[in-house]
Amino acid sequence: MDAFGFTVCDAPDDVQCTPCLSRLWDAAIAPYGRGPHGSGPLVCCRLDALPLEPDLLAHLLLSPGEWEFWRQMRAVDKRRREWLLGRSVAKDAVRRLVEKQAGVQLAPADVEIRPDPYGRPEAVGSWTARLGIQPAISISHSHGTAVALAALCPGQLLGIDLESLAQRREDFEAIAFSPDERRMLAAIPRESRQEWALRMWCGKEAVAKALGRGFSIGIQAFHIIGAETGSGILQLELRDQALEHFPRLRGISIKAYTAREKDFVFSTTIYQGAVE
Amino acid sequence: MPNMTESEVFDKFAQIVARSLRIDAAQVSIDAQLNDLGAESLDLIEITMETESQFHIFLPDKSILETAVEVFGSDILEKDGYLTEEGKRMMMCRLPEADARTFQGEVAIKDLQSYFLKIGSWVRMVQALAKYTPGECAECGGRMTASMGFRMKCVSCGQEITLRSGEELNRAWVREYYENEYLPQAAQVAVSVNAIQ
Repeated sequence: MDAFGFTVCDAPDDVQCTPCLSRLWDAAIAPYGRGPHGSGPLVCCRLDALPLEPDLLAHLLLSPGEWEFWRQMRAVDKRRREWLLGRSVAKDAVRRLVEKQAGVQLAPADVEIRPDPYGRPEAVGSWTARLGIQPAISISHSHGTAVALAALCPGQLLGIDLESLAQRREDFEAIAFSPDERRMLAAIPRESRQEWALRMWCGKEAVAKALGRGFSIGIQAFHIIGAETGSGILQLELRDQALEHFPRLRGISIKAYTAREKDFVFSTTIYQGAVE
Repeated sequence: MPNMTESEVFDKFAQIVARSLRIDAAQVSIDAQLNDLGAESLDLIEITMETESQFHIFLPDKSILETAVEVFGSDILEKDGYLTEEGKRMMMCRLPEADARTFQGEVAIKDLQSYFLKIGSWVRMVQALAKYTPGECAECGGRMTASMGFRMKCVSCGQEITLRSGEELNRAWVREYYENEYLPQAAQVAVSVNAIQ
């Protein structure tokens, strides 16, 4: 058991009926530990490129509802590819989780990823009622890479965010962070400041995703009150009017783990508890 | 700046979007959504900053619905991820230019967020905010230029003003709607219910 109190799922390398396209990405969930005391299993997957031509892959992976969305999607090629990457990696994460926990092999099309009314992705299919499980998921994509986090514990809120360090305006901090947060950043050595600015951004976005509303309630609603540069763990709390939506989070600190891997910075958060 | 037409705002905004997302400006149509053009969260920050800088405006950091929920309280405008009838009424009043179908049937919050990501929605928001950015000094009639932060300065007399933020303007609009539209109507409904009982 670790500081967060969760257990990383010792997931199978692959689901046998249809191979998974993504790889397990334990780096993103490393601090959530392994052991008998965790609150539930957890899988994270990562996919860095589409292995097939998009339309062919869409035929192979998507449910009828997703296929219809894909067919009608009016978006630039980058967006279409990243959407498909995100669906692929999220399906893999759920399939691996279900295989491990319930011993059931699902086909990719069995796992439909669709947004709830607020836009948070959820995994649905006839298997959820049959097996009596409802995984929570979170997806992120950036610069041609997609990652997904899946967990099996009722009431668990998950968030993952991935950002590229490439080609980022340094002055984005003026909008992204409050004066307190900018002071926190200013105390970080100059050579790692850009990376930490992005870690803090990822932490905010991971928590925003976990709560299910994203940044629609305002970027400044998610306030960073502490950053441990050694462990990469951020402490966040909700501020001001955002508490109108999540009154039970008043005075509660939410942890977000952050790390850098090559040109990417990422953050994951898992919150267990009532929020509304 | 205050008198820019929608077409002028669109042309300039399309250039900002195209540059930020490294796409051809021709791909930026009025109906396109920023995420469908490939915008990620940090791209939206970059587009926001560039838009504020070029149009001398101060964009709100949250949607008008979120601001309204703060004024109205929970469950009046949206409940369980969907707009209530009251929420639809307010959004139709706020967005008269929106296609009537936008607010027919069940309207999920995610659909509203998609609407706010449309290029056309941004263009109209920029045009509306630009009306609060003076082109001329109220004191001497001199030309106003951007100063530090969200401030404008007269090149002739040096008079400085602070721009009103989009959030402040949104909140003022919501308060006015709440007091002049919502409360009288709610009172009328309460009277009718009492009469029936």
